Amino acid sequence: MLDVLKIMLTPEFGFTVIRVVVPILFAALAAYIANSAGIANIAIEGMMLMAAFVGTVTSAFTQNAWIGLIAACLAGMLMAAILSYFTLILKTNNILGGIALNLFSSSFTVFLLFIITGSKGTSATLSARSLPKIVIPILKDIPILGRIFSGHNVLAYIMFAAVILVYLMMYQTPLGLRIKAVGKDPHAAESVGVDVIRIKTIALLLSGLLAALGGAYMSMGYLSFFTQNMTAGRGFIGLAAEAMGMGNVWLVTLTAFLFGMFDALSNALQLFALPSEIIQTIPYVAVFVGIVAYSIYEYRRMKIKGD
Amino acid sequence: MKNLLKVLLALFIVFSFVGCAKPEEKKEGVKVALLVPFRGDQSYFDVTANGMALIKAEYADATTTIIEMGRDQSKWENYYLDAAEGDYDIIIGGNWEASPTFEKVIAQFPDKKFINFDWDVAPSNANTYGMFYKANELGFLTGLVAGLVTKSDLKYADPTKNIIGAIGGMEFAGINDFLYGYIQGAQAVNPDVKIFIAYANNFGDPAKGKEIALNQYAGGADIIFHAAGGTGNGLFDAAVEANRYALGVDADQALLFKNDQAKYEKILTSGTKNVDLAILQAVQRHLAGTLPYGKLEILGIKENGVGLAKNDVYNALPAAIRDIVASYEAKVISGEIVVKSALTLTADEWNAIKASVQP
Repeated sequence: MLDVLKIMLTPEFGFTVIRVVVPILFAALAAYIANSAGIANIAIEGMMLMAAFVGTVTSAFTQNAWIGLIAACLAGMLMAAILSYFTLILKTNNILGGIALNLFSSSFTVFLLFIITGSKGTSATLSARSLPKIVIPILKDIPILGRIFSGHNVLAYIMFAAVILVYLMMYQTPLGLRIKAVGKDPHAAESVGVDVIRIKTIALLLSGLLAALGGAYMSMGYLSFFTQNMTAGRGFIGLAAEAMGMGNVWLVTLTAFLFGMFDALSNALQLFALPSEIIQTIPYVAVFVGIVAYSIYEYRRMKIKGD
Repeated sequence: MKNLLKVLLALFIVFSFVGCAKPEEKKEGVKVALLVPFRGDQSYFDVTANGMALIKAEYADATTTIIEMGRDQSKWENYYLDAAEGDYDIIIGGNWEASPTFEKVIAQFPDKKFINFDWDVAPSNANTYGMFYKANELGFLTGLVAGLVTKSDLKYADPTKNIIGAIGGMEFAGINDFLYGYIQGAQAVNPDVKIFIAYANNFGDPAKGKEIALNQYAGGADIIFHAAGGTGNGLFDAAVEANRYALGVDADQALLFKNDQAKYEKILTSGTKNVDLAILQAVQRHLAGTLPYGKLEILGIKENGVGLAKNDVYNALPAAIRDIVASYEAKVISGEIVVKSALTLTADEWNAIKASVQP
């Protein structure tokens, strides 16, 4: 137990948590915006994967990581545009549309990978570029904080900015208000002249953009190559974090960090001679405990209301 | 018009049967079909598929076919049935996942010849030859390298700590066999060495692999071996980031990074599972009439079933290290050293072994 605390109280652990949480939190924010507009966007995983692929391949061909990042964002938004066309214009069930997009990206990226590199496994043979790591001048000299917050990939800082921007957008701008209105009751929103489809499309495109940033981080920051299905469920973990955030962007962020922390912990604990089955259940137990705590809280709240 | 169509159809049917009934008129080379779930893992299945290229290189008149069955296991039986009904002399399939299906199909075709390229169970049909590889001997070889490198004065080694690492895909006997061999190899040349052993619980999550590897490097390991499939790709990224060494598995994994010097020079060698050579040898013996159908053969270092990738990076290692590795390799071949296997260990025994090497 002491060892666990010893690990968790090092600045390196804090650094690791941020590194692990980036794709999860981007996915959670993507889910948050879509969900606020009343769309369950389960295609986040597929959007991330597509963006990861397009980003790394574009950076290899242009030899410029930033162009790769822009291409990744466009790819994510294109996926979102496809999803919004099918679900908002053609009225497909958005869960089915999401499943279709996830399956599509999982196979289509491998197909393109094979055409481009001749390999179905990884893009390792391409000399792709990664986004830079940033050492923050003054912060890096502050004893503990410097080691936690300085030296991350640029997308980690974009992530922190994204949390604040998403908050400001949702609570301080007319667009945020309309997104929430459309999500709560589309008919009421329509009756006061809000173009529901337009607002939902914008929300989905933003959701695709955020998912794409998470995907680009996977292949151009976290790792330096693309491999098939490399997102490995992080989009869905983001969806879970969003669900536990109860529609509050700070809670969503907190939950994502909690998931990231337990994931990092399960990796760090493997240095000790503990049974690996137990260690690997930690993140899932954490989710379970979280959901139970949330249910108890909700139950009490409802009861008080009922009385 | 309708009649004409009918006639054409009738002709078509008749002639298509004629085609089938035609006996073999000309002497052709051996026809070999290989069935694998997919290619492109840059590792295990790609090495297996390379066996077909080796056959082609050896026998110019041979016809080789590689059939990718896909990941949907429910379709595998049909692929095997199609291949068994097809015009092949030898049908190669199997591995731990597909073998039960493969065996089921084999039982229906007693006149055909089959090779199971990787399964630890003896074939239940007399027309099947089975092959299996000594993963523990593969791990032993990489363990020798790791145990020697960690106490050497190589550029990225850290002789002060004497810690090495290993990442497994999942914790089951087949993977533990690699790791147990690794432990024995490292201890043979470096009795006090300490070893981190971790599992990613996933064969396809390189980010997780990188995270675990970074933890082990931060904990003092200076060389890490993996038996974790695609997850292991993350290990090589971590090696570059931490400026430490890595060891590949199944195929010569450094080859992938020929144009990325920083990565290439850190993958000192790979423990190779020579499924391609084994397939070639089996086909050669089939043609010579000496392949023992109905039997399972377990291929180790001696039989060329497993080995070390002796590439440029490996050959650039100090001769002292390579000589010691070679001497132990010879001892395993001569039978002087018997590498113990994890396949027969109980969970408790394995946990005790892991705990005994824990830093």
